[in-house]
Amino acid sequence: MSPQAREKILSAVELALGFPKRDEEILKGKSTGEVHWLNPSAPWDSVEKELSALSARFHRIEDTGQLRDLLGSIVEEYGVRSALMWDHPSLEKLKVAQFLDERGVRRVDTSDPEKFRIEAAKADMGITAAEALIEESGAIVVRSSREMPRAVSLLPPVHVAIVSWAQRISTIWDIVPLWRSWLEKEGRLPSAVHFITGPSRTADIELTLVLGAHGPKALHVVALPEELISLRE
Amino acid sequence: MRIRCLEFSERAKGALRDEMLQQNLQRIGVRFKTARDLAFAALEDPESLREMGRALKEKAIANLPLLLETLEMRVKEAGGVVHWACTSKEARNIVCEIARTKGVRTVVKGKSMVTEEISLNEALQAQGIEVWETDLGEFIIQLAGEPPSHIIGPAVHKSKEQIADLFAQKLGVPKAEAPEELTRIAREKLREKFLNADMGVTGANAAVAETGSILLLENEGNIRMSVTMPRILVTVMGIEKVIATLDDLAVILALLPRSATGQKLSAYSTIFTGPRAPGELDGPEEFHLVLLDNGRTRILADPDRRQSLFCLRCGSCLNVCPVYRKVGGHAYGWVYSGPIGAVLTPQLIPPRLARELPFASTLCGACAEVCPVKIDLPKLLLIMRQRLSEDPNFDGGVPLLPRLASRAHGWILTRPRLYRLAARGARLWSKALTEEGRWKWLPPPVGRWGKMRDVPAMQVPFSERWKKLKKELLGGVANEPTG
Amino acid sequence: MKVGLFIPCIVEQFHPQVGEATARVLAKAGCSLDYPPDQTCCGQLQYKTGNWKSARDVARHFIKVFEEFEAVVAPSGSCVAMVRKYYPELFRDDPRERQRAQSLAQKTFELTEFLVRVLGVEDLGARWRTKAVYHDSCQVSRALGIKEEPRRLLSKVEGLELVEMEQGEVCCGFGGSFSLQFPEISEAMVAEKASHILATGAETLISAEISCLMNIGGYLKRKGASIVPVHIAEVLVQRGK
Repeated sequence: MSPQAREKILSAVELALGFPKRDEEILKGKSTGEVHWLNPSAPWDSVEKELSALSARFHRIEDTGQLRDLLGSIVEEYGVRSALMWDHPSLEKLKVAQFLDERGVRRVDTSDPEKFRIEAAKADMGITAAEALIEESGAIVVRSSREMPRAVSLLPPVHVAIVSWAQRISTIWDIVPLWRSWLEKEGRLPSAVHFITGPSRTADIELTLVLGAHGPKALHVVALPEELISLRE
Repeated sequence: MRIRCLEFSERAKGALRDEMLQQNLQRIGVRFKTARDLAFAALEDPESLREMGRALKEKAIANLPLLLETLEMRVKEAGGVVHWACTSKEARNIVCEIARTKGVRTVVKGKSMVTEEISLNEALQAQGIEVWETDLGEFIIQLAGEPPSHIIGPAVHKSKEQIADLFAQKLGVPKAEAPEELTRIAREKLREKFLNADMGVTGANAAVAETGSILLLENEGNIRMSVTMPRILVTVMGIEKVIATLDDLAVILALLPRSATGQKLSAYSTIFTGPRAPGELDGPEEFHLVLLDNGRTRILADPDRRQSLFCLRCGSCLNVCPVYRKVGGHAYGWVYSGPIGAVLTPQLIPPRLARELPFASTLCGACAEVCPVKIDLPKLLLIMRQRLSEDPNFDGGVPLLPRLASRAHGWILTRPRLYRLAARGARLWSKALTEEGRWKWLPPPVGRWGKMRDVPAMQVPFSERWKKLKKELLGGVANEPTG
Repeated sequence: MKVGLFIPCIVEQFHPQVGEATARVLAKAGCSLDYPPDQTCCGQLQYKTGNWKSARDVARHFIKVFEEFEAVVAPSGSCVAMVRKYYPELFRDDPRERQRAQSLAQKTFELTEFLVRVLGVEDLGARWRTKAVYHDSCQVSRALGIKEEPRRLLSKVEGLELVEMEQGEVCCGFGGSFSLQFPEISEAMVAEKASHILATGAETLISAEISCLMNIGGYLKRKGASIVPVHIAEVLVQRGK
């Protein structure tokens, strides 16, 4: 049935448009080349403002000591007893796993693919890195892979995303060269790319804003010096 | 979804009597319009962004064959399966067949107008499959057994008390009252479904031909859940939703959330490509894309109506439409409401079943001002009125008497002498029906006008005063009608 | 400039004083006027109800009547929008007629835009002590983009205090045949508009569109409101009230 439908539809489209010439040029991307990362030392006020307006929390920290204190206070604030982490070089370099062990926060076992989602659903907190932070909107960009499952930034009620000071871009337009660089390097886009702009929300009941509909209720974006995580080659 | 467009007038009247609906429609309209205006005003060049939106849609539609073939190729390369459906029925059958062969028992759905268009839920349910609408507003109305009243806030016609009662009744939970509590109840209930469902079904905000990627925007996280947890993912999409490149995708990301709700970005913008990559722990194992025609190629074939296909389904035309703000979404009787609904519906279903909709507008133009892809909605409404009234191919079934009357009136208007004579006759005759400078009674259909308004009596017309006036102003001689 | 007076059918039959005021205003602004007596109507009712065949006949007659003038001016946005925006469209498939339609479209103006943009006149020496609110007709403000001009003219009327209403950009609910085909919705819309107008406390309601005035004014009168609806042309000929 399907091959016939395909032919029917494509010929109907061709006929409707008067058999247009194929112009492969229109599939060629325009924004290529270097990604315009913002200067790490440029002011962070507008990022702070955007995230605040979204009811997300922004922390600009200087060293791993401050990171440990911050993570400690988050664990405290939400009564976190179990956490789900990406298996990510940045998080490794920052020794996040060790911190959790020291604090007695159980690290959810993600080794069994069959049980992954059930286990992941038990976590109180999810910790990820990110590919970029968009200044204009406060959005963080995450991508998926074997080591970076989607559920980590989705299932737990608290999401902590760690970026470097050097991963800021200005607007949505600046994301396109980044996408293109992935395309060039990997031949395709990741299976999933998410722009996360604040915690989950809904206003479906009497237009009253409520956080934490199905995704995380709390989002903490943590930015620290590039050297500490050296996320880029 | 069942077609009830012919009930428009009755439903509209019912909506006008519903005080809570009136309040909520007003609130939602003003809130989203204000937010939208603020978001656009904050841009450096708002007009240029809308121009870009229009341009990318014009380009996509003009190159549709190439884009559809490229999209298909890329989706397959990424490990997805592409299906084509000429009609609603074919689309339903495809999805039901996938569900059947894969042993699907539970489906979780993101909000999707196109799946309403093809009446998918009922078909799956007829196979004994549990279908759960997961967008909170859709979840609520699914429990209530009602259709959505607004594209963005499907349950705006319900109070929190009504929702609390509904949850208590259908979910067996104690009666909560605060929105926070009600949301938590829905979160818990649906989470269990997300984690155990076999199949997720979504629509698509756009599909990028360059990479074979699908864009889905949301604020709650239910769509992310639906495209991440179940082992099978089905995305149903109208063929007009394909765009060319990632550059175009960025324009959509800049335009859609701002137009819909005034947000810079939705809470979650998901761009997925195919099923999960080998080795990934989550994401669907199988991805099926269903490309739907269902009348779109017929719209495409008419250059005047083609721009109807540019629609992003953002809802901004609804938010500003003064008619929609009074009658809400149910009145339109089918999936698509507001100005775009009035334009699309008689093009997607037999025109005779929706013939009133394009006339249910004052042509005020508020919609055209906000459309992110600059669809000339008032022009399309006028074109639809013409098609329904004059085009034999359209079979609008517009009542004969008003049409003849309009034609007769038009004929008189080309004969000045006759026109003046008729007016003089009407004025003299009307003297019996007017008192104190206004009409006591007016013949139908004009009578309806006079029910709620004072209508001034006919006067000695301007044309008969001109001679004297001209002398007064210019000291010249006026002409007599010749025609 | 030789101006052809285009008097909309509603003005002709129900509010001829608006036509008179329009003529007086244009004369005061220095125009040499004529009123071609063969004019009847612009045909927008036929056009907007989808009866384009009929609309074309009416339009052809209209073009014949007016095409010789240097400029054509009407105290109505909807009629001018019909000629400017829709006449050329109506004759899309008839190059000769379309050419005539386009030439006429280019020289057809709404009254306030003609005064301010074409003649460069804003002060007509009018005087009227009143608190007034101006209603932006959709056909004037959106279809023709005329928002500033009426306000500039009104700002020069001595003694006139102009206030703005809430949600002024929302349609009053007339929409021609709409109000006859969907009277309840139309009524709900005009009721809302009326409440915003009354909330301003204005004594006078001004508009550049006669059909909106009939709609809102007729409703307000039925409700017993004392606010006086007037066309902007009538305001501009006031010499002290």
